[in-house]
Amino acid sequence: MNYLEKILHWKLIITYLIVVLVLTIVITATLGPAHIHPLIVLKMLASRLPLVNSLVAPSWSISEETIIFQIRLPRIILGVLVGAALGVAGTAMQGLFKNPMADPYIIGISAGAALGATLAMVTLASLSMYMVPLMAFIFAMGAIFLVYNIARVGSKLPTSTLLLSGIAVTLFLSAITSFMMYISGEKLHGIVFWLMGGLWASSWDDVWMTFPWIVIGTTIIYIFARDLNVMLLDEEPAQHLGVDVERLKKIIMTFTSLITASAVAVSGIIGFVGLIIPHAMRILVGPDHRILLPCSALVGGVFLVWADTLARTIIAPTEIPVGIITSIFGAPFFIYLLRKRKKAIF
Amino acid sequence: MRRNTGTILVIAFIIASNGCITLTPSVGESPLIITDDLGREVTIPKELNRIVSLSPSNTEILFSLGLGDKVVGVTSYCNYPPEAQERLEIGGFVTVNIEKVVALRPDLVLADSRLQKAVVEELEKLDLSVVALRSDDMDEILEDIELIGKITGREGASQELTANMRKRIKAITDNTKDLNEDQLPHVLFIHQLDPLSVSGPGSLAHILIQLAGGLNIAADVEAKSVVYNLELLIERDPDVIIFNKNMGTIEITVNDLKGQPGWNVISAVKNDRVYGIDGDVVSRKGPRIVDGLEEMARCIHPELFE
Repeated sequence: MNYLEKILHWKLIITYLIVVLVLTIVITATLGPAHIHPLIVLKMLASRLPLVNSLVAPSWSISEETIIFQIRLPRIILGVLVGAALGVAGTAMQGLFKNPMADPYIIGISAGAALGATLAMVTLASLSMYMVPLMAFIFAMGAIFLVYNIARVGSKLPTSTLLLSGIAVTLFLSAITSFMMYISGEKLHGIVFWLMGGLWASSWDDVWMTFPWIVIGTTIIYIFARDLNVMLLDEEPAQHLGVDVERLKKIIMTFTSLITASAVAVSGIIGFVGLIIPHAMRILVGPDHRILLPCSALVGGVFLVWADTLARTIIAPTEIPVGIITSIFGAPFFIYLLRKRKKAIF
Repeated sequence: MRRNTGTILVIAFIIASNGCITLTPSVGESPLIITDDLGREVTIPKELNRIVSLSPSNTEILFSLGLGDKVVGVTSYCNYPPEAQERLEIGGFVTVNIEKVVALRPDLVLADSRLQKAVVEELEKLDLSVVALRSDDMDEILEDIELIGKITGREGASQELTANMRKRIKAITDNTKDLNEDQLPHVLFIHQLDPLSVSGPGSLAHILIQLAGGLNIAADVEAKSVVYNLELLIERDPDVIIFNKNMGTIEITVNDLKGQPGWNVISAVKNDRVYGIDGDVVSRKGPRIVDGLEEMARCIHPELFE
């Protein structure tokens, strides 16, 4: 395949995935435990679109409108954002560290966010909608900062030291979180559910809080897709090929941390997506980050939205933490891909 | 996520374990031998001067029977009556410090049969008299109070207390039992807001809602406490929302609830029928449960009980 063919092929894949994403949003908007006919939902969506809105006469109640536009839709959009962020962050971390076990949480983000959220829940005396995500975000970034400074040797950032300091900081922060949980008494309930991860109380506020960070972070990571490709050769050859390896590490780390922390702040710790989606995409579209990053973003979003659709409908009126669904359905699928491929993927 | 597994297991266990209470005090000469809710035969010492309570419900029952000065140890959750907090703390609820209990040299330990099985076994090995109790509905609460009265030689006081409780329960149910279906407001009891967690069948709050003449809109869930879907909250449109106003120690106000995105279309919110109550009163299996019932009744049927 020559270069032009490859570009065309990539464009096709991305167009196809964007169509899948749009269809996913529309279809999952019609699915939910509340009994609203899918046609009514489609009409409602059409009524908010320019050009076609004049063709639709409202034939639904105010509570149906509230359910779709204030409960279901922000949850779906947030699912897309969080899934995309985790997919991109996982891909970037795996590429940067050349380590198949790397995920967005590998350098302490989840442990930092968990501690921040737990502290907020244990110490706050009054309810504030934004304190938990805010504290989660601040502590996640704090954890990264700590890991980075522990691992730094002069101006360099040796990969193995970085991974090990990530593990050490994670263990340390997790121990504090466990202690906080142990003494949290009646608040344990909220903490446990936060740690399991879920999109149950998503609002447009959550969407607007995360949207700019995830879009900016993802875009900047994508700009460095070529450099990530060169990194696959190893650090030294990359350096010889003109990549400023240390600078790249800092940039990628900063922006994966930013998008992961934003995602974790609003959704808790959703496992699996950031680890497995990049691998699945690498099997399907190959290791080139220029196609791998957008595919991981789109498929991460689609996957999380479908997982969350199951989470909110499968045993309605009860909710299941979405992290349970992502692993139960995602892991067997990934094993299938691994077996089918039957050769080393990294 | 390994560190969470234990907690999740505990929660799963609370949800899964749904045994049944059988209290058969064997009548006869002293010493008194009773069979507790774990099916253990326990010989009750004649002289009870030092009692350790391993649950807030037990503590409240003991104090209400006038045994407060014999209670020497309580859990960190035992916050009622206020003087209970002056007793030595022997740990949390599932995290009982066995050494502290033993050091108190109790004549009797009152435990919870559902969550404290392991603790009971430990204490039994150390030759302590441990009675494990469990109650799941109003009748069982009344039976437990009478049983504790019997064990502690306060039968008179316990029967007086339960007679009064029965009278107050009847005063409510006399007003609510003949209401027909469309006179029953649709009610939701929220015990945690994030994530939205509500009380389902089998929970005390559910039982209280029924006795107080309401229909729990979460009557179709599979467990006593579940995370509830927000769409269904709006679709099922409760007439009355009652919430635990101190979730943990976080104070929740009516306006916090009303301000949740999308909640403005719910009847309870539109009609100002959102009430915060002390969650302990509707969840502890002691004498105050009747206060909880009366408060719920006032929320659900203000026209009958104000």
